[in-house]
Amino acid sequence: MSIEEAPHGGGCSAEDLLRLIKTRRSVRVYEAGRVIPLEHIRMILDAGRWAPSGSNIQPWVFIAVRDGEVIRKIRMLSPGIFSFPSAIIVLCIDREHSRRGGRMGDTMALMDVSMAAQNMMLQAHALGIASCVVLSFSKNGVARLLDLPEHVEPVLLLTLGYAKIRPKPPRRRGLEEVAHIDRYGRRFK
Amino acid sequence: MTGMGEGLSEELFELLSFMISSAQGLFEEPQSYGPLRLLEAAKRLVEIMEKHGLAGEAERRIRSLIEENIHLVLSSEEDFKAFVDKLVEELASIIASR
Ligand SMILES: Cc1cc2nc3c(=O)[nH]c(=O)nc-3n(C[C@H](O)[C@H](O)[C@H](O)COP(=O)(O)O)c2cc1C
Repeated sequence: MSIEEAPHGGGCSAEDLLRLIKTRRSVRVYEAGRVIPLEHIRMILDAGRWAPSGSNIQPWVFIAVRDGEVIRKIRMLSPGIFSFPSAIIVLCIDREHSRRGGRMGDTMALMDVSMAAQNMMLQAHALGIASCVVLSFSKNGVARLLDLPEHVEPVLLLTLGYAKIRPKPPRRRGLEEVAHIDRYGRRFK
Repeated sequence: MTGMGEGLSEELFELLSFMISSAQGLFEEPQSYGPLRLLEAAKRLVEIMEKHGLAGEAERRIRSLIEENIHLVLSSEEDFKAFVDKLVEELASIIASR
């Protein structure tokens, strides 16, 4: 089914989508040595590419790393990665594109990349692939390691793999605590 | 270097990289990430020691306590701190008995 032909709601049930969202976990321990098919990596990247972006600037660059040796080296520069993922997507901002967003460009680009990351995580989850976004990594170190040009800045890593340990869902603040209706202070019940 | 020495030096180099990249990140990260990174480094050190037959019962116990409790940093800083206090008491008993 093409994107244009898909029914409103994309043909996906609201219940299924909410279940997918709620059951996604940040997985930090992966099965060793299991390879993610390239076709699945392609779908995950595609989900990222279809994220919304401010002024539709799409300021992102995604680098999918599958080579075990490169993964090992990224991990050496990334204290936020706890075990060995099967793949890592390095999400970057291309300043030559984000500049078009004017003074808001930098802030917007971070939001755009974050939305792309969430899309990727959900797509991965739907494929049975676990993930974790990682902000704790050395930006300049990874930029040097991957030969990134000056205008391409890595901002987030997405580790991917098959879950060895599935963590319990971390507590969420209640809806009545975080959501208000019509005006601040009128709690959503 | 050859054989086991080469493996060991690469594993230690990975730990070294972890410590240096942690130092860079910690300027901007939450305060509790300092203890988190140090405990992670301690855990990785014991893993290397175990792999090369250098770890005893005490080191293994420390590693498993860290493994079981390190996640507390994300759920409750208070519980995480209480765990670190307990770990140091455990360490003190080990030191006393050596
Ligand atoms: C911006 C951002 C940065 C994060 N950085 C890390 C990280 O460096 N390492 C890590 O293990 N988890 C990281 N996480 C994952 C969070 O710890 C996780 O999303 C949170 O504890 C909730 O758990 P859940 O994703 O399983 O629902 C990050 C999440 C976000 C949104």
